[in-house]
Amino acid sequence: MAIEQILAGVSPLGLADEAAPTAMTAKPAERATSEVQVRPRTLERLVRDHHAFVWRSAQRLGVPAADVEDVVQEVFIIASSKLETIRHERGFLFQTCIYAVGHVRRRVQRRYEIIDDERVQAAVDARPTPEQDFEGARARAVLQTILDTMPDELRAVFVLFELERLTVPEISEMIGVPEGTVASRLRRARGIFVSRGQRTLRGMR
Amino acid sequence: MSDMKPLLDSELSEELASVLRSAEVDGPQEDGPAQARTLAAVAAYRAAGSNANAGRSSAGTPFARSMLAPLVGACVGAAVVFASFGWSSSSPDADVTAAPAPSAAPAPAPSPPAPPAPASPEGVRIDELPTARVEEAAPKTAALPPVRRGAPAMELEDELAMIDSARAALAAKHPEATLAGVRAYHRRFRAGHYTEEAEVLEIQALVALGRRDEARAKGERFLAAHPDSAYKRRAQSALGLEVTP
Repeated sequence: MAIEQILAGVSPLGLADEAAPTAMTAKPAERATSEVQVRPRTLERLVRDHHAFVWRSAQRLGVPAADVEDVVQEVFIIASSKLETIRHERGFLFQTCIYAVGHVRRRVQRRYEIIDDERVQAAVDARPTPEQDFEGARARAVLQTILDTMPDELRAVFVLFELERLTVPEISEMIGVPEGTVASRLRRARGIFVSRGQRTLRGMR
Repeated sequence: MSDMKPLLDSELSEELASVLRSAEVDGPQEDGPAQARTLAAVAAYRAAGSNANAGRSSAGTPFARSMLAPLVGACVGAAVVFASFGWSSSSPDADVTAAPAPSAAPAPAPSPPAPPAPASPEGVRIDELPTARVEEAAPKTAALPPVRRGAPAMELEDELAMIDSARAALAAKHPEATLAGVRAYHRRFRAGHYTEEAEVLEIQALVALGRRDEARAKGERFLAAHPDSAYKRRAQSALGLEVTP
């Protein structure tokens, strides 16, 4: 699905949260002026506050390294047309990221026919950066391998809780599921992490 | 349930803990420039949409001409503004739509109702889209022109304009703008006529920006997917590979 189709039918570009009450009572001409002035600042702030979070989320949700930036940009393009309706910024961006990641996975597999596990693993960002030593890079590769084996709904909760260090209530609010469900998914994800992690590490010794 | 503690704060073997801690380096290597590129991409995408509206509603005005300057301007403007002023300044006067993109596009000319877009294989149902808390549904208005049937010539012109602008930006040594333009192209035309050229432009832009790892990854994919492409030599040359006939 192209972004045009996603954006079609959404409301016009939104207003900053702080400006919304004023705009709701403003006359159309004033409102138009207000939108032009406020929307870019809202978008700027959204990008400034959450860009790194979206980037990390894309990496941890399994986007090949070369496509992470595309996904991040796609998320903010979608967000730019829904500013008015966003009430939980991180929650919206994370869920949009999940959607965009799924889209990219399908697109990459179809366009480039990366279908065998070895090549998929090679495409995932497991290479050491200058900031990572060899052990760090190896550990990161193990983490990615484990994450890739988790069902998506478990993976999302695990990433938010264990890697982003959010609380269960915060995650519940972000992804719109009851706290009990979040806790249950987290327990299952932890089970996968520990069992597969131990097995993978044993295999590397 | 809400008092669950992260694994790193509980008993966990050191090896597994190091696996979890390895994610601490995640994120963009340089967030400031990456943020600027994101804003440039948003600006370019929206400028493309605005100009498409303007181009289609002004009879006799080739979209290619009206598209070129604003798109390059949007990309270069946004990238340069955000990169040069530094992200932390965040001036209240800073404007993502720094380019003179016509934000108040004229009302679209009356046209027969477009047929519903065909469901693509990668189509997503509306209930799969991310949800946001909505106070009250606003009047529904298309933010960007949907890709319509019945105007193939104009679409081809739009495609060409976007590719031309991306190429012009690269020639003008603005690879950031090329990247933003190419990505806007890919988003707008999933299966466009100039996809291969767009991919090669992207590779060239990444090389020009020094992002060689990304360029190599994309280049390898391109060469694997299009072994007989007319752009093969350009891709190989950009990557510093031995050019094969």
